[in-house]
Amino acid sequence: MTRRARSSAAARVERGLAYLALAAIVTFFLLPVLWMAITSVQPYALLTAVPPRVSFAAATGQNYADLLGDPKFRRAVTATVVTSVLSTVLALLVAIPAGYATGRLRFAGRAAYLFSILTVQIGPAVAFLIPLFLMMQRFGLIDTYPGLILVFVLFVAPVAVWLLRGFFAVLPPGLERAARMDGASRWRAFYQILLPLGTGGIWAVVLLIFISVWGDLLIPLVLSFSRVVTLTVVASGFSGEQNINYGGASAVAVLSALPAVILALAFRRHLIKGVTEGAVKQ
Amino acid sequence: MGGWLRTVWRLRVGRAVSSEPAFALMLVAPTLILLLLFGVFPIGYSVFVSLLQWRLNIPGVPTFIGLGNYARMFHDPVFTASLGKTLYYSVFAVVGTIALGLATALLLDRQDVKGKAFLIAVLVVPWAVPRVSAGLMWKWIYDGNYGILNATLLHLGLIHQYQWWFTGSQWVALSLVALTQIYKDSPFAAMLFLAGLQTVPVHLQKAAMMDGATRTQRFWFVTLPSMRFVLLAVMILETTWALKTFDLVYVLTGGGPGNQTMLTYMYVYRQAFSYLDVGYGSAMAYFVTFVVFVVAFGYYRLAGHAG
Repeated sequence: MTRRARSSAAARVERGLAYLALAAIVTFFLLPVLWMAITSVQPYALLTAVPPRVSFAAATGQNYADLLGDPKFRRAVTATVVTSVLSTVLALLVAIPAGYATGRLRFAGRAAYLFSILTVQIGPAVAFLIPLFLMMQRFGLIDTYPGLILVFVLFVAPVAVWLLRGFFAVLPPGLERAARMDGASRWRAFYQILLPLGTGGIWAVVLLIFISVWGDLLIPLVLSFSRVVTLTVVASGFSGEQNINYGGASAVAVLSALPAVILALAFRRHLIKGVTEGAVKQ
Repeated sequence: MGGWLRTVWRLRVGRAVSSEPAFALMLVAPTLILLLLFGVFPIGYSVFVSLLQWRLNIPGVPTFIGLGNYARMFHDPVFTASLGKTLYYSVFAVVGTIALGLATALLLDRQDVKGKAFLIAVLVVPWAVPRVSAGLMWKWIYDGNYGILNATLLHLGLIHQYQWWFTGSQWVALSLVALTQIYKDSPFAAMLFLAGLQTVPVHLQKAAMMDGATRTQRFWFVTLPSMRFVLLAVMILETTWALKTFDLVYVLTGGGPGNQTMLTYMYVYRQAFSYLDVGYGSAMAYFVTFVVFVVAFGYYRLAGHAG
């Protein structure tokens, strides 16, 4: 009895410690985001207070008003939305068939194909961007949507193929055979039977691709100058100043993070499920 | 699809794709073309560029200098110094991401912890925040004049006056940048680890418990070996991400002050796209590619031994 009491006391202490550790982790992950959100609505005078002071009474939307009134920022919003949406859609259009084929069909060169698309994923982006920049300059694709989107698709399609391949591979075997027996073509077996079954995985991939395109800096930094400058490029511009306007920087950081965070929270079940299936598969 | 198109489809394509390999090839064709035109061809082209002295901002014809750019690399003090910095940065980021990711996953996996749905939502936030946003907010936290890191440390009596964290020791500067990468990447690692923990066979855990293994022993001898593939996957991902880190360094320090935090990848960008020295940039890009592939291959071999 006493032993049991002692062990339950130990379990309680341990549980308390676990919660303490989790509280520290949650603080580490959320505090910077909160601090950024708070900073974005503080008047300038408070940002330069030592020690730091926060006043919710003095909260101001000035930083946001400045941004929304800036045509450069508004153009960047458009550019980011257009690029992210189109890149995601196009990458899926090419990656879904390829993911299906590599996951469920047998053909010569499958392993070689999978390995070679992986090299784009593993290889450093700058190694590709230097020649791509020179090529695009020649064909007038610098600072255009087609140029930017093309490069994004190139960089996100491989990982999409690999992930989708996993999702299709775990579906029950023999589905195609059954469909074919019923007289469906290979094509119909793919898009009418297998594709609907793979949608859960596809949503996880949509989220992963969208988040990585939305948040990328290097590619638009290299390939755009004025017309298709994205939010990340505008946001990074704040960091180069001599005296950084942290109110404005925080506002732009918040606005460029918001859509990604909302989307990620909305789709998190798919993400976790996708990740779990990927891990279990091995 | 119009009626005539459908007919053409049936007659031409329909017959061709009646065999499985032909159908598969048709399905991978778009990605294959994309890869060949915009992946393989450019990389081949940049081999050629790396042998040229070619600066876009200086008028004149590019001249062939053979391996000159490669030789220049190893006599360039900024480049050679960047290698050590990159190694330190990568080790710091990989170890930190795995440690924090694994700790988070183990805590979330506990039976007696409530509020898992909330905790998972918390993990998704830093994962989704663009690196540029994360970089800006950490830059503000680290700020030498008004940052809350300074204020907190001063309040706790750990420092006596505000510090400019990036101007002192390069190792401190690099560690602080790496910390932001850990912040960004450990949530995803935690999700992968949490998934991996579900694959640890329950009977093995029970058997170990019956044999009187302590919690620590069970962790080292049952849990970790069972999830070695997830562990390896996270190591590969994080190592390549750390070697190719760009956004965070660009926003936090730009490689400075001086060249304090000039990681190799950042230096390639500077040479190629700030100084527009595309020849030299290509040569260094090749070197980075080589290193990334050697590391990836090393892990791959490790996976072979583990399996």
